[in-house]
Amino acid sequence: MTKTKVDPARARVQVKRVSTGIFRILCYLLLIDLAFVFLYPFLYMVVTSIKTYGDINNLSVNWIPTSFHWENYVIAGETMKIQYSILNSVIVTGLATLGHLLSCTFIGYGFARFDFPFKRMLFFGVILSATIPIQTMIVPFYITYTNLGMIDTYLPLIIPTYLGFGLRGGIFIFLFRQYFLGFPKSLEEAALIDGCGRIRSFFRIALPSAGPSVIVCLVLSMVWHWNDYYEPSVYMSVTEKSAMVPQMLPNLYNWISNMPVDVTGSSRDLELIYHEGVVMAATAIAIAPLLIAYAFLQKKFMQSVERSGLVG
Amino acid sequence: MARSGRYMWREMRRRTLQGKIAWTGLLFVAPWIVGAALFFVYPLARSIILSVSEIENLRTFELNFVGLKWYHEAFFADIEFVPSLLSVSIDNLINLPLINIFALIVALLLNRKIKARGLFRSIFFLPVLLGTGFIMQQLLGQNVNAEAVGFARGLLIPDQLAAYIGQSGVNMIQSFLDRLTIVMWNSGVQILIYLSALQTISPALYEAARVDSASEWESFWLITLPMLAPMIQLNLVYTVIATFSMADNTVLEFIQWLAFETAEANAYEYSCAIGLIYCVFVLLVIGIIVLLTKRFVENAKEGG
Repeated sequence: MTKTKVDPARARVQVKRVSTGIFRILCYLLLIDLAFVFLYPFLYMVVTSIKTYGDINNLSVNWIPTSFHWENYVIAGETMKIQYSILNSVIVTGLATLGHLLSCTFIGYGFARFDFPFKRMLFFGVILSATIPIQTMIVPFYITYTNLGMIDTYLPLIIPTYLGFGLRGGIFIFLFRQYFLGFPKSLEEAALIDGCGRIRSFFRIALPSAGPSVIVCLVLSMVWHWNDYYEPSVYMSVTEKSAMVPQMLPNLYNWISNMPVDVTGSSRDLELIYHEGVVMAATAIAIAPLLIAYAFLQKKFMQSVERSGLVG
Repeated sequence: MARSGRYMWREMRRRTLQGKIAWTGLLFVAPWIVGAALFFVYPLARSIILSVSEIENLRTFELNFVGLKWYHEAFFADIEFVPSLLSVSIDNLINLPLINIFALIVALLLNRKIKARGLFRSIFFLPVLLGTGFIMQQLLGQNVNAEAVGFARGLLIPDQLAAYIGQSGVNMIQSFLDRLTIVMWNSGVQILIYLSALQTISPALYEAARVDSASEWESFWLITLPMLAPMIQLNLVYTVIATFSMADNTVLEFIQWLAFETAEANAYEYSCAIGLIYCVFVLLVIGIIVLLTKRFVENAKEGG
């Protein structure tokens, strides 16, 4: 306490330090708060999926169930026929995503590297195709696929992706075009002088460099295809063996919400088995494969985003 | 570099170097051209033809030309279509700035040097996995979104304040908060786009600004925002595309109902007409947004 005079410069620094400290704490609070809102649906789903009928209707049981009721998963799995539906979904999603990866890199490279007639018009077409919601032209699409003999097969979900269409294919073409526009030409020119063809130099030089964009395309295409229930529900009739996960879910929901109610009390037994817990268990099963895949890819994915793998 | 189409064709016929490059380019784009013919031009043409005709015989697909009858019906006779189109667009246009402002704020927060950054980034992308399909709808049906902000609401609207602004005021704030949750869950991709764009801004710019004693607030408005301008435009357009093609949209549900769930006469033709009107409407919205933000993007380019 010998020094009574406060150095004004130092005081200013201290005030600044405290205020940035407070600001940082506020940032963390905001982030944690938002993270909770984002995690909430998942927490709710997992917690509800292991509740018994009694727990769900018991207002005092909020987060921690009285017992773990794993039967919900068994019932949901049986009702959704997961042995078929998950496999079907994995196959279709896998093939469609592969299609997007192959075609959109190729086409995007073409738009980025070469000058050809009507390029601007064609690229405008790409953007246009991405902006139009498929639902608005569903009747002509249905007619087209009927003419091509593809109804009741998975082909309408897969074939268009190999030609740069399908679920938001235009967006991926745009993504790769942006990437290759920023990719230096000199490497390919050197290869060209050494006698490497254009197509080979695409596969050998340009494509291997496009890693970040490929990961972004892979994750987004996979997520969108897995969750899409609109197109499968239009092009395919639901049968036990051919249905995909997103088709079985609404089935389950409808079935539970339209459960027969009768006065004799026999529906009460049904209600004890099929309740919201089962619904949430089914939902958890439906997104589990995605969550697992994302868990593997998320580190790479986020790195890719950071390294401007997105519309750089 | 872009030359006129006729010039390019001549070069291509003569097989000059430029012509060869053009051929290779066309080869690369060829899959898309085939796809466009099959899955874009043909259905679109079909849709336009159907929307101006009447199906005489469903089996042989005989068509009668009826002109703009269905369009007329959509705008002047149908009591549901125009109001639902309006309500969908108002809803989406309110969400549009909210989603983008929210995504930008989250991206800015995540771009700071914070602990557990990777964890936070992954969490903010999680709702994208839920998609906009049935799972999301189911959760919304359970009022999960209302519960998620429930405790935030308690903090935001203490009882005293509630007494002061009255029930209608509370309801307004509540519906706003409900909307906010949906906004948050729909902004995963936008956050990613902003995050990746923020990474491309050179730190040297901020350093120079700091040397000139600019505050963080000032450097946000004078560096970050102008540098993000093209991405903001892109994000606005993406948000319009994403929200206008969401499955729980009443117009799209109406089209689906007309196409597959009703036995009414001429439902096919009518659904095509409404679909085309909706397409043109969405394109118009996008066009207006691009035009409105054009000045902003160009100014930013000149300034930077």
